[in-house]
Amino acid sequence: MKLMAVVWVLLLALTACSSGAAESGQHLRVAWRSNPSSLDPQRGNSGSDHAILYSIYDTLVSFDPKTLEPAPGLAESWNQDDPNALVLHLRPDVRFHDGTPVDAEAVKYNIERAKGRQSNIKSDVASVTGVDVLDARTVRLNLVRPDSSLLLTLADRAGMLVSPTAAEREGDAFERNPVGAGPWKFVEWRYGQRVRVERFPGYWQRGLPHLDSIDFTITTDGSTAVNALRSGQQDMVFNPPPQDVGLLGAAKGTKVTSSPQLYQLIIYLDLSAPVFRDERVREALNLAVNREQIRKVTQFGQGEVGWTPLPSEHWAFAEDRVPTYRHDPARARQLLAEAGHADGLRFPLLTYPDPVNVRLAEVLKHQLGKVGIHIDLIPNELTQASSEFFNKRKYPALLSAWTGRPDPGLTYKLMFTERGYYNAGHVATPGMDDALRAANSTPDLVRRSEHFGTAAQIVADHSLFVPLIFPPAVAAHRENVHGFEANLLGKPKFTSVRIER
Amino acid sequence: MTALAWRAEANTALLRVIGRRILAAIPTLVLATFVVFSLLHLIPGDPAQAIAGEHATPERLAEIRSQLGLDQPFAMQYLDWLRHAITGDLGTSLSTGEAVGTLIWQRLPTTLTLGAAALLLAVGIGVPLGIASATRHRKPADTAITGVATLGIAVPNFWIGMVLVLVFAIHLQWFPATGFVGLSENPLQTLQHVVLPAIALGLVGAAEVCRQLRSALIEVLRSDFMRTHRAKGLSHRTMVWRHALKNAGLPLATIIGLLVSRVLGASVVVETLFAIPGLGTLVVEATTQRDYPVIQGVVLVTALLVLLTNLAVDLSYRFIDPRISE
Repeated sequence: MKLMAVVWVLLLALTACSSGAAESGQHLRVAWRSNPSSLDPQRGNSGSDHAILYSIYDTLVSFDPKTLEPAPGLAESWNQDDPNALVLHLRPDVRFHDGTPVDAEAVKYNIERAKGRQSNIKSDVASVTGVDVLDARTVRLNLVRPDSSLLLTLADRAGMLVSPTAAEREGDAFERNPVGAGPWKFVEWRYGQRVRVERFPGYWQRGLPHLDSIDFTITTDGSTAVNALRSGQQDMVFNPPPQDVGLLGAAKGTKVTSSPQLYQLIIYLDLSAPVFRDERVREALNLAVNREQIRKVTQFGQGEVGWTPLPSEHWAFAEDRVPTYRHDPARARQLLAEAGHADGLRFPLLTYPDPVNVRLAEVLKHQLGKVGIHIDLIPNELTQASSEFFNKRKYPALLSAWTGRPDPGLTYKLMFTERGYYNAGHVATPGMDDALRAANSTPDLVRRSEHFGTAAQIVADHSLFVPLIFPPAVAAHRENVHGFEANLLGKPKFTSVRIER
Repeated sequence: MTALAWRAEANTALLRVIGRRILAAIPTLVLATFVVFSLLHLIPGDPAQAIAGEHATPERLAEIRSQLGLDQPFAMQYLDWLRHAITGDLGTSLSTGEAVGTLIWQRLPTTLTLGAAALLLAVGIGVPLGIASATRHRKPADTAITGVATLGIAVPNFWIGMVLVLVFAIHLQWFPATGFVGLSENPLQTLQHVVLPAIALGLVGAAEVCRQLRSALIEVLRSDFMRTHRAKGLSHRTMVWRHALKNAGLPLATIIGLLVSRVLGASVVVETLFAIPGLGTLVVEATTQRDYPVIQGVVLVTALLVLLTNLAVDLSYRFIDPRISE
């Protein structure tokens, strides 16, 4: 018993000099959900890599954080007069972290590397047939066909310029020693533990960034990340579990910012599956879903209900032309009867086993059950579920999400054209190709937006998928973290963040 | 026979036992790694798909598969792994290209530190409580301790962990909620970081040690020789600590041995809960990535640790009770 007393005294002594040992200066500690799949932008494959990649790499083209309209990046301007070419004018005197100039040769190297053997983003630059260096600061991408979606694609992985010198020197080891032209340079990647970056003094945007360094600590469990934030061990957490958002907003010391994002929870349908070949069945699904109830029950009233692949803040969201499915169980039942399912209909729905998805799936089961559509939930882990639905096509429907792409052209192409990977049944829909071709033939955003409106209408008319809800992008942070600007892409950038002590 | 010669002979006998046990462990290790390797290939999902990403072309997938040797027959892949493992080469991670040995070597000290702290706690709490309970057999204190211990066994360690974090990390802010600092970096901070996860991991063990020791002690205290001791006029304290505890040593050693494997298993959950970069989180990460060599490496090392523990426990029997020999 004496021993126990000694132990307790020691423990108490420990706590006296304990936690939250405040670090000084502009150092940000971010709890990040997953280990990067790679720090080479052309080799990774996970959408959750971007926040870390954006800190190390600057992109050729940037975007307006609110609407995702293209904005100048490493290219200060561009010219699309010839629809079969994209001419980029680069900023003067920009250098990579290793001193290599960011010039036309570097751009040529990067595009060719993206088309090369080791690249995972070949499809992003598929329309580029060749790259011409016109002078040190001007480069022309020659296109196989007009492709105005390429511009915003250069705000994604394909536009994240890697230093040609470092890429050549490191070869396969480049992903472990990445060199870009972003606001911070790479310091360390401890696999599955953390990624550390520190300020690049030669960054081309004067006065930026504010932070001297960022630690991305890999914290796979959402609740654990919330705990670390509340106890003061981390400064910032993204997309905490929905049930914790209210708590973090109300708690002392932490703040919450919610903003719209492209990420949408949806049901993917295999249009070639016998049960979904009939459009009336697909429409019935869309009418039977009560989106507002989903928003209230699964998102605690946050977020925006989904009608199209794009949220209302997006530049290509054509307000007047966007179709809406009202919640209409009677009409749904009638459509099912017309399609020969008067006695009801049953199909398996693949889903993920995490709490958010399971809750959503259960609500859907209830809502659809009311009109006689009975779903059997098949919970499966993410990689497996995707493979079974998109590659093996073992199930007719998958409850998952669309994470968005910088250009809406890619979203429609991947999800709804005949060869699109996310169109699991690979069924073509009349009019879709024409609408997208038209949208990709003009650089004018107003006209593009109109064509995407047509595409949205085609998707809705044929009920090609079941849009559900855009959950908000939530950034929770300590109250001394200021200046964070969320973007519609939902992939955070930290350039404007600073810490006030 | 002189005492010296006798001791030398005993030593060679001991060495022979150790040698035989190690040899016997090899088939177990091979079997364990083979079972895990087979299980990995049974679960759906494909490392090539995980590396190439969602809309990879079939050609790219085939290319990655052949680069990684995944297009070889299953048995060939295993034999290939085994051949390298025997020479100490555990291969490289499929997703990062780092040597598996290095990855494990970085994580092992963390898990060992955490595990040792949990065991220390289990024994440090379990033994005194077990004694207190046994010597107060059928008294209110015994009932109370047994009740709490039963509850302790029933409560899952992740729940204990969550409650600990809520109370001691978030509200009282005495200890950090997540993370780990190595002993070589800052021992004081190691201690701070290890307290809550060690309690979460060790409390169940403490309850088990308490219950096992209690029943063993009660058995011993009832025996004839204890009655003789009492009749001889030995103090209660001497009886319990010098004589009874020694005789209850065998079940105690057994339960501690079992706890080691239990703690290693539970570290997967507790390390995830506290975001501790140990073997547990490594194997979770590797499994979602279908990183076969990393999973195999961790399984091999874990199996090795368990086998070594069993060996140590077996050998300890001979010291606790010299009547036990080959």
